[in-house]
Formats: sequence, C-alpha cells, structure tokens
Amino acid sequence: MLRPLAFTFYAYAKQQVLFPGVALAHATSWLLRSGLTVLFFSEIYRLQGLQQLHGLAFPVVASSTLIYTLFTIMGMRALPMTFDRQYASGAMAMWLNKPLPYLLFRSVSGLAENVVSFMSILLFIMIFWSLGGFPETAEPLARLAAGGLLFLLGLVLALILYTLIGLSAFWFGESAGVYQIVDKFIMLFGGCYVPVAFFPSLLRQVGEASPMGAMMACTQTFYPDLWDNLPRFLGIQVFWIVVLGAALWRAQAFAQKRLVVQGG
Amino acid sequence: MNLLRNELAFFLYAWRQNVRDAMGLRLSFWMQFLSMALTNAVFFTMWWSFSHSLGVVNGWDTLSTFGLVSCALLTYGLTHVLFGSLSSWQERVSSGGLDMLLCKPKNIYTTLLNLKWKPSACADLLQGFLGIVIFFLMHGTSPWGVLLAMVAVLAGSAAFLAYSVTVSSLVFYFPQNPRVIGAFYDLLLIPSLQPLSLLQDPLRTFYIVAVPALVVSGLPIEIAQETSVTKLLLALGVTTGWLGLSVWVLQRGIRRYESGNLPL
Repeated sequence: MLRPLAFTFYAYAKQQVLFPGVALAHATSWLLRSGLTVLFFSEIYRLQGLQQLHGLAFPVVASSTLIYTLFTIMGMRALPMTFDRQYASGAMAMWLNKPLPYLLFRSVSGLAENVVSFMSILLFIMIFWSLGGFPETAEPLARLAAGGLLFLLGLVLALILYTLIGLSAFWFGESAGVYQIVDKFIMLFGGCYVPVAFFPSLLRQVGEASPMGAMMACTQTFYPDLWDNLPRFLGIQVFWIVVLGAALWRAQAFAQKRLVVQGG
Repeated sequence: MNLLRNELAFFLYAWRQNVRDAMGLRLSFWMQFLSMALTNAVFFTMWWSFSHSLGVVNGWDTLSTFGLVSCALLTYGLTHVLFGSLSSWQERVSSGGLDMLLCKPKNIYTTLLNLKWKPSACADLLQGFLGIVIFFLMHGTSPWGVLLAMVAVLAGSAAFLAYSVTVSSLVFYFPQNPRVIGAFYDLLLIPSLQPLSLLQDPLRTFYIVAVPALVVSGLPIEIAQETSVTKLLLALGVTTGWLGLSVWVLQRGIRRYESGNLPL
C-alpha cells in the first residue's frame, strides 16, 4: 500500500516541476494573501499603539494567520470540486477501479499537487519567525508539538468533512452549494478573516465545538490559554472524526451504489 | 444599438432560464439561502465585535465596519446574482468544454458569466441591501451621499466582476490547475471583507489599484460618509481600467484556447 501511495505522491509532485509556471503562480498567490493579512494586522497594532489585543500580541495573531494558511494549502478544500468534475464526467468510475483506495489516493495527490506552495509558506513562516516574529513563550517546542498534533488530527477531520461534502454530488448532482456554505464557515471559524480570539465568547465556543472550527484548532497553538484548552480541542477533534467518519463510511457505500457511468 | 439590445435580450432570456432551473430544486434553494444568511449573520457579529474592541482607528468605527461588511455582501451578491458562473466558468476551459460556447453567435464575455444562477448569492444581496440601508439611516447620510454611494456600489460590483474575469482568464495559461485561479480570487474576496479603509499608504493604494478590494467595499462607505465626488471618480476610474483589462485578458486568453481531452 505504501509503495503505490509514495509513487502517487512522486508522480503528482513531479508535475510541479513539469509545469513550473503553475507552481509559481499558486505559491505567489498564497504568499501574497498571507503576507497581506499579516501586514493588515501589523498596521492595526501599529496605528493603535497596541502591545496586546484580547490578550494576544501581534506575533501570536500573525502566527495564527500563517498556520491557517499552511493548513488550507494542504489541498483538502479542492476535494469537493474534484468530486464534482469526476462525477459529472463519469471519470470517477475509472478511479474507483484502481487498486488503491480512492480517498487515500485523492488526499495524497492533493497534498503532492500543493507541495511547492506548502514549502513556500513554510519557508515564509520560518523567515518571519527568525526575524523576530516568533511569539514569546516559555515552552516553544512543547507548543509546536501540540500544534503539530492538532494540525494532523485537523487534516484527518478536513479530509472526512470535505469528502462528505464532495459525496453530496451523488444526491444533488453537484456539491458546489453545500461546499460554499461549509467552506465559508471553515474560513470564519478557522480565523481566515479574524483570529477566533477576537470573536464574542459565545460565538467562539460554538465555533470551537463545530467540526469546522475543530479542524482549525491548530491556529490557536500560540494562544496563552492553549494548555487549558488542549484536552478539549483534542476531544472535540476525535469526537468529530469518529462521528463524521462513520457517516462517511455509510455515505460512501450508498454513493457507490448510486454511481451511474455514462458513455464508453 | 440593435446589437446591444439583442445581446441584452438574450442575456436576460438565458438568465431567466437559469433562475427557473435553479428554482426547480426549491428545497436546495431555501437550504442554500438560509445557510448563507446564517453565515452572513456570523460575519456581521464577528466584525462588529472586532471593531468594537478596537475602537476608532483612523476615523473608522464600528458603524463604518458594519457598513463595509454590508457593502461587500451587496456587491458580491449583485455580481453573483446577475453573473452566476463568474467564479466557475474557468472549469470549462480546463476540461476542454469551451468549444460549444465559442460557437454561439453571442458575446463570449456575457455568455461565459451566465451559464448558471447562484441561489446562495440572493442571501448576500438581500442582507447586504438591508445592511447598507441601516447604515445610511444610522449614519444620517444625506440623499446626495446615498446617491453617490449607490453609484460607487455599482462601480464596486463592476470592479469585482472585472477582477474575477481577469484572474479567471489565467486558466488559459494554466489549464492544468484551475485552483490557481481560486487562490487569486480569494486575494480580492478576503480583503474586501476586512476594514481596509483604516490602512494608510502604500497599502491603501495597493488595495485600490492592484487588488481593488477597497473599491468593492471600502470606498462606497467612505463616499457615503464624506459625500466625496473625488473618491467616486477614483472608484469609477479604477473600475473602468479593470473592465478594459478584463476584456483584453479574456480575448488574449481565448486565442490561446485549445479544445481537447485533458485529464480530469
């Protein structure tokens, strides 16, 4: 199983070399987006002469934004659109016949397709941190380890949730409508616009308890109250992985029965 | 003149058909409408809370931010209700499905943007409109200010449309990876929901000219607050430039288009 997966990753990552323009454009757009958001918050802190806002210093807000970008760039968001395309064209049947679980194949290829952008953002974060943007904390390595765990569990949850959205194409004909709405909530509760620390208390709690916010818990890696919240975050993530995983298992079986292959 | 009337009549006919198509799935329409309305309500709450905790920055207060979010929803809603396939037509290019549209004896620009109707945008349009009316009332905007602001909203919608078409046309250069487009599209969409008006140069100029996020949402509110004809002229000038660029880039892109079976 590992060998075909490694080959899939290699083959899709190789495309980045074959089409360097695509990789460069993708990485540039993401770098611009995260860089501009960081600049926006730095301007707010500078204009107001603030050291902290809602208990967060600027490096914490910037790091939260960058971790959000790093998570989003992993390619899970593209899953529903790929489902839509392949469902509409009938190409999905071909992929289902491959000797590799379809979801595993899709997630690995998605990761590989974005490897250049991922590395670019990672490099950007390293540069930002090394230039003094690393949040002041007593236990940096422990926080990074906890953040890494939240990141990985979040990725599993994202894979399950986005796949479920993609599977809705089998019932609605396309998943775009459901995708737009759920994706908007993920952006909101993930801190795409504003870190969740700035949310009203009730909204923040609702967001953190929802699968959309739970998958993005890694953005709170450098929040001062991480250690108090970590067990809750992990519990919520595991809960949603189990519940949505079971739903996905059922939905996938139904979806395969409903799959209609057109043409020859 | 006859040609223009003919194009407009065809556009409206196709638009009506798309609306009928979408309304055929009434349950799906209401589901999307209500979910989007809920998401937007979260948007309002989040920005209200953030702005409230920030206080007044550069003369930009909570009410201004409320107006800005309303304006962003209004321009987004207006553009997507009229041109439902604005953010999805590029998928046809990557799958080689543009041939049928190019064969039509109609304007390709409007044909591409009118392939389907987007029900969820109705919620954006309605909430944006209500929000901006509330903003005008609470701010006590003069009738002249309201008129100028509404012209600026139309200019902002046109700028949104032109920017989207321009970045979507990149698909002719990167047909293997339409996701590049999504990343550039988000580069406008996300900042247009942030209170960028509190920024100073050079970031402010960047967000007016290079990524017209301020034209889409910030300038109409500034125009309403200051009854500024100069700012309206600026918005109209930038919009005209972006519209011209979008037509040019699309035409250049279509010349590069090759139909064929690309991998899905």
